[in-house]
Amino acid sequence: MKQHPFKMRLLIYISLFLTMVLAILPWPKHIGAWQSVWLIIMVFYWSLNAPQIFSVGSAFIVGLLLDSLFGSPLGLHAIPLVMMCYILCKIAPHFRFFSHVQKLTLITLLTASYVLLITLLQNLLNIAISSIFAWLLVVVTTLAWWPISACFSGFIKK
Amino acid sequence: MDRYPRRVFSKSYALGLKTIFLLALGSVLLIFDGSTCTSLPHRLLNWVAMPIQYSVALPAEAANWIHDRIHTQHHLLFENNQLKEQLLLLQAKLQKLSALQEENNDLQALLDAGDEISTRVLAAKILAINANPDDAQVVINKGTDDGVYLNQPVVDQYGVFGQVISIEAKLSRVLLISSTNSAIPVVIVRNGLRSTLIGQGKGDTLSLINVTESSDVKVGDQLISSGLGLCFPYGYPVATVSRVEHIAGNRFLQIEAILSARLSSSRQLLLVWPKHSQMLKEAKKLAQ
Repeated sequence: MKQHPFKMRLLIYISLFLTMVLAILPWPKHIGAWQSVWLIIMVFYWSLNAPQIFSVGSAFIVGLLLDSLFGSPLGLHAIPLVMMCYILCKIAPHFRFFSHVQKLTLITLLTASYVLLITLLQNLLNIAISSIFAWLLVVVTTLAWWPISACFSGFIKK
Repeated sequence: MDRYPRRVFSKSYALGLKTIFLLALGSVLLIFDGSTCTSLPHRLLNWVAMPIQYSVALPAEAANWIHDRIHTQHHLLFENNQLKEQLLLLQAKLQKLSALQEENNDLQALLDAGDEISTRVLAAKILAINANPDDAQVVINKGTDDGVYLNQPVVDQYGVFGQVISIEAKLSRVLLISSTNSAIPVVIVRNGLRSTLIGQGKGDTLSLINVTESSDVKVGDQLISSGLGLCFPYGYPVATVSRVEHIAGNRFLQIEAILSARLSSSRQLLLVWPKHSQMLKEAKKLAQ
């Protein structure tokens, strides 16, 4: 990244803070199941584009904060986010050479794995399992990934 | 000899080790926090996340502020007149109500149950919502500093809303009664039949359980809190029966009820401090 690390850090913190606020805003009933979509996109985006600043440690803290905000047991969102972030940090150096289709397929697969892991952990802990609408999160993330990442890339280049 | 000390692990190994350590830490937290969500780390994190929860209320506050500023005088005069009319109407109603309340107090004194009917309440504002229908919760802006306690009942202007499940200094988390983890003992106003209303995670629809097929339940029956669980005080409206179905071969009726509280539109809630001595008396009376 050519950006000044401090500016980049600031941008990361502000974007994560705003997406956390978006995650707990009162949404209509069914859209509520996708409330973490912005945060997932941001975690994925920063893991791919600034892995030296945003790594597994940051993903863990974001996950714990998400658990605290949603009132879910600590670790429920943190564990899947750390796993996804690890994979993305490993892929990050090669990601820019992927074709558009490959990029979108990867994001879809990772979001699906994230939802699956959360559902499995909820099952293990015997707590209320997310409704079927949670799976629409995969579609929404895939659709929203392209415009949001394009916007951020444009903003960073400026 | 190298001038700089060598890394013990290469960078790729470091990331892997860090991930394994964090996953182990996450698993430990998950096991200890479990389904209670009341461990010390959770409470510490709630404290850290407090600014995020407060900032959610900011856009609504800003919109209200702008709305107040751009209101024209004409509109305010119109609103003022309307409020005056409403006040007159409510005062007339209140006169009738206070006469009824006095009569009720007299009757209760005769029955040796002369506790005060009024209970302490405190208005609270919703800061954040976990809209997952299966585990619906809201965060309100009152906590231990305001005297809020665990399992405290919360109502809105239409009926029972939920109960407090975790508390911080200035925040509390309320589990909605529509959540699958929630249940409330109720009584049918028309005939005094007792039952339990459980959340289904289906928004405003709840299920009335353990009502035998010979019971007298009709669509439109009003359900109020029975106070039997010693959590929700007696007499608050909870729901209205919307569907009664008899399934052949099943001893119990399948009954659905629509909540009185407006779970998705209420922004202001009331925390209630019920009188436990009174609740015990009511519960004993109902149990007889």
